[in-house]
Formats: sequence, C-alpha cells, structure tokens
Amino acid sequence: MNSSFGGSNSSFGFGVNGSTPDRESIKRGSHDVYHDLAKEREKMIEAAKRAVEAALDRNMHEVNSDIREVTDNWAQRQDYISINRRPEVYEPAELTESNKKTEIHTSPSIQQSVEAQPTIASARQAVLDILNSDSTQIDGVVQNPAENFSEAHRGQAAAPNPPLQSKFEELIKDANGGAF
Amino acid sequence: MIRRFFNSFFGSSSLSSRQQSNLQAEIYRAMLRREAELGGKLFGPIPEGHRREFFCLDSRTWVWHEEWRDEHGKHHAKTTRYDVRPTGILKAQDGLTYQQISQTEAENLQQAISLYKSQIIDTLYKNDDRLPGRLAA
Repeated sequence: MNSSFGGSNSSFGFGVNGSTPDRESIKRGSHDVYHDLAKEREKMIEAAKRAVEAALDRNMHEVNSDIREVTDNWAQRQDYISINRRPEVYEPAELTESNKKTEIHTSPSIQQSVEAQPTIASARQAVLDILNSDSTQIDGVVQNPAENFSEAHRGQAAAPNPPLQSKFEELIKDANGGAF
Repeated sequence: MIRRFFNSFFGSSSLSSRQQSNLQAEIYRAMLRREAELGGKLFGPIPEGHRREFFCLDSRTWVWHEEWRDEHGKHHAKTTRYDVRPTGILKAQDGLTYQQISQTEAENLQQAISLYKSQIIDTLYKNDDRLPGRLAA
C-alpha cells in the first residue's frame, strides 16, 4: 500500500546536505505528502464511485433481463394455460376399448406395469406361448403380443396373418436392432 | 509535535525510503480516520453511545463500522464490508460469507458514495489544507 501512494519523495523539504530539517521544512514536507495523498484519495474515491455505478448499471440490466425473461415465461405460460383450458384438450378422452385394456393391463401395481413393458424375454416367451398354443386368440389384454410389440415399436401394422415363425424372427430382429 | 513525530520516525536529518513510506502511511491512516469519522455523519445524527464510521478503503471496497452499547451496557460492534466486483456488489458482515446485495441496498450505497465524494472529499481535500488528526497539531 505504501508504495502505491505516489507521493513525491523528493519534496519533503529536508536539507540536502544532511543537516537537521527545520520546523518549516518539516511542515512543508508533510504538507507535500498530504497533498499528494489527497490527490490519490480523490482519484481512488472517484474510481470507487464509478465502479459502484457500473455495478449498479449491470445489476439493473440483469434485473431487467430477469423481468423480461419472467414476462416471456409468463406469456408462454398464459398461452399454455389458455390452450389447455380448451375443453377438448383439457377433458380426458373417453376410454376406448384398447385404453381400457391398457388400463387393466397396467393398473394393479407399478411392478405389473413394469413387467408389462415389452422386452425381448417377455416377447419371446409370449411368442413361444403362441407357437405352443392351438389358437392365437387368447383371452385377455395381449391377444397377439408379437403384433402388439411390432406395432408399438415400429409404428407399423403387422402384416395380415403372416406365419407365426416369421413374425417371431422379425420380432427378435427388431428388438436387437437388426444385429441378431 | 510535528518535529516529535518526524524525529520518532527519522531520528536524524537523513530520510530513507522506508522512513518516507512510514511517513506516507501515517498520514494516509490519519486521512482515512478523518474520512471515516466524517463519513459516519453522512447518514444523520448518530445516536447517543454509538460510534459510526463509513469510508472508502480502496477503489473497490467500502466499509461501514458501527459500535454501540445496549441497555445492559453490553458492547456491540458490526463491520460491513462492501466489495464491488465486476459481477456485482457483495457484502460481508463481521467476516462472514459474502452475499449479493439487493438492488435497493445497492442504490442506497450509491447515494451514500455520491454524498461521500461531494461532501467529504471535495470539502476535506479541496478546501482544507490542514493536516489531519494529530499530524496537524
């Protein structure tokens, strides 16, 4: 700190020949130091004042940005609310027969719901069950699991009455990303 | 007094760079003390038994210090340090963690600093040639 005051070291008013400085010299020297430091203080305080003003401006800018962001978000939310207040969107659709089946299929517990997700093992088992059964018409939710799986994951309707074996191969291939 | 002060620092007619620094530091501290005292009066009357100081420590730091005794005679002191950073103005009280000050507090600080500059610095340094504190004796 001392080295940054910028005082003029040569203006203390001391005798240059090593003599003891007189009172006036000391006083003059102290005043010189004082005035140099006073100028330093003025500069420092002016800089500190500008720094606070700049910080305040930035803060105001950020606050305004926040306000704009909140306003935009609120406007978007209002749009969302108005859209979702439309009865046709807001009201739950009637349960279709397939929905009901899905509901039955997944409602008993989360565990059942998880188990109901098509997996390679469950799909394979389901298809094997079909292959081993005499009829493809099974009562319950999954009437034809291979077909359901295929539709659900590929968005395609299953070919009408393809041979069960080829359906099985297609299912496995699909479930393994074609690497099977 | 001034001679005693100088003799205590220098003791002889020669003046080393260290002695010059000591002189500067002593005068600078005295200036800060006077600024702090006058800065504390910027915010209206100081209550009985209170001691209030407000001053610019450096180009990015402002300090508010207040001491008082409560009705039981217990001494209290609170030091608030405002640190002006590029990202905003932070505040630390009694050495605790920094927190960002509110917009209102920042505006109040800015007003106080404007007052400080106009009423303290301009008056103190531009219109007063006297040495501060005991240096003026």
